[in-house]
Amino acid sequence: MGRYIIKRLLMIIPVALGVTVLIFTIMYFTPGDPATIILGSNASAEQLKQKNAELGLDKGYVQRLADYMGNLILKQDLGKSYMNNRSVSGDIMERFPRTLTIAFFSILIAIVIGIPLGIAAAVNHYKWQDSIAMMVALFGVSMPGFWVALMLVLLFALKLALLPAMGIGDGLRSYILPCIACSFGGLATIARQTRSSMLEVIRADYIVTARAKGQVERVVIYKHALRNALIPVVTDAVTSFGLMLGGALVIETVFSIPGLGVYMVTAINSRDYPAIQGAVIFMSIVFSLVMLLMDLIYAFVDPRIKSQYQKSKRRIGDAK
Amino acid sequence: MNEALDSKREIRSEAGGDTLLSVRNLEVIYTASGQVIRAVNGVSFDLKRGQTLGLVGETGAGKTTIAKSILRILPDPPAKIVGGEVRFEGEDLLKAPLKRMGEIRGKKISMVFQDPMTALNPVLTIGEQIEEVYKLHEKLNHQKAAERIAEMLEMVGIPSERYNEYPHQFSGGMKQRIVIAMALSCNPDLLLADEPTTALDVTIQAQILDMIYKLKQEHNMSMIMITHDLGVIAEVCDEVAIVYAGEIIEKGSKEEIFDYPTHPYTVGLFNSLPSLNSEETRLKPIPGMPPDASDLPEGCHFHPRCAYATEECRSGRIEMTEIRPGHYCRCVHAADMEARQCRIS
Repeated sequence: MGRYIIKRLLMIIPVALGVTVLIFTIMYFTPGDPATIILGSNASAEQLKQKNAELGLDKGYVQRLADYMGNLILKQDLGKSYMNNRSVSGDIMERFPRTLTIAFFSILIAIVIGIPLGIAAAVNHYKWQDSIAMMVALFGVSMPGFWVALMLVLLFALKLALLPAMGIGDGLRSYILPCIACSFGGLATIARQTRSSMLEVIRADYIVTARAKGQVERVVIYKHALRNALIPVVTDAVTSFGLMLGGALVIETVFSIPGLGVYMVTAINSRDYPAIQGAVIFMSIVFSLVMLLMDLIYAFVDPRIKSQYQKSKRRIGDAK
Repeated sequence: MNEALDSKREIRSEAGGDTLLSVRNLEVIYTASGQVIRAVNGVSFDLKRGQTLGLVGETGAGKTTIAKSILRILPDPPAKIVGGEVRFEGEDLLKAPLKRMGEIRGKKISMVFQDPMTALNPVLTIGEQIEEVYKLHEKLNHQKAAERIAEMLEMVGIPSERYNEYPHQFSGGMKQRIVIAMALSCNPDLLLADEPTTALDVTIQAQILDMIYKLKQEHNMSMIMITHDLGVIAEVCDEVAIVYAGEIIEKGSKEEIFDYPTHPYTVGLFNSLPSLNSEETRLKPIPGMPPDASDLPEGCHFHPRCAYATEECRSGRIEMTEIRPGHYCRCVHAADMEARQCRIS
């Protein structure tokens, strides 16, 4: 197992390098001139040329790529942002914890509410509990994130004055509304996925076996059925967690939270190449780690998957 | 209370004292997209302590449904037990509260399922799965349960070191042994064996049957053996009931049924067995298909396929008649059929 994890961690290196080359190339071909954006449209040709030289944008593609990769690999340096001249990696590390907080708590809310909702729906298939749970899920997917966010602000911040409406000045309290707003979509998907997955498992022979043993229904559902139904739910939950780590743009915008999503979009709009590239590389690494986490959860949930990882370890051992 | 006791006594005396299970007029329906499928239509039988009853019939005849309704583990919806009684040691299981059923399942009555590949939970070790039975019914702690499980596993021929392994690490035959070990772990009074060997290859079949038979003898269990394999019946059963379209159409002792099969369907079943002695190159199947349970034929459900069907067979309910001592048959021509049998033999 440990060997498998190390192998997967090492695999992240070529992935990140590939992503670097790709994003660099895409940015190279993207129209738009950083110098014009920085200096404004009134700047003279001379000034623009000077700015371009200063940013190193007057060199050819190969030269620039080589410089960038060189800095990245040798100095672990993502460069400086064109806009504020601050270190890109510093900016990202400052913003990432905020995005992580939102992603983590909203997925937690989605799991804690979505899974029991899905189970209740499946166990009471076609009964009123099922209809209610599925109605909640339907609302969850249909309500646009910004609208939910605004409604929450109206109610909890303006009407009840319980929570801050925006910003991050209030510590964790400032994250409550963004997390709730962000959790709706995931909650709905997780509830629906749990329901359909449980419906399949509940009909399985081993569930009948468990009942035939005299096992109480609660244990049959939570111990025997749920774990078997969990794999697709894990896929859903972890994937949306990974996506949220890339920044929840709408939520960050509505609540004025300086997270990764807003950072990315600002950087793209101002053709801030180092910032865009840095953020994308960072996200590719984070996403790879999240996918590894997903595979480890699979192994934890399902011993058959675990034994596959161990088999691959044994094969490596045999080859030696 | 007294009434209940009285009725228990009554049942006991009526059934000759050692009747363990008595099923009366059991009726089960499945509802699927508005259609009602009558899977079991008024099945009645008795089972004495220590005896084995074989339920024989084609796929879809309702054998498994009968067994599952005894334990009340049919999926509801779509299945529903709509009538009848299942008296186990005098107690009507169909009226028992679910909590009581939990005490009976696995402890007094347990079941071995058809497909060992899917009968075990893939995410729990076999040890955990057997341990549940001991924890539920004998309130054993982990240590004590582990000892008993090791014993049980050794008894069915699985090395007890494999206690902590998962179902996917075992072969089909081994899984079925594990299922059997699980079913027998609390020495149940009644074992429902639902085609325990159908999914296994022939050599393993023989081993498993031998093992079940041996364990049954050791523990003086009663057993209901569900199968469509007449060879299996010949080997392990005392009594045989032939099931067709959710009804028992013929029942009696194994010897009676094998020596004097009377119902045309039963005769057809025996004729369809290939004989090693004859020169026949083709099998002799029963013509036609089993009836659609959502639209059963009027009268005798077998009449559309029956060579001897007459006008009488096409309407009304055909009753069971005793044609020889202890040998019952649901056929209006039973007497003629029997005469024919005698002529043949």
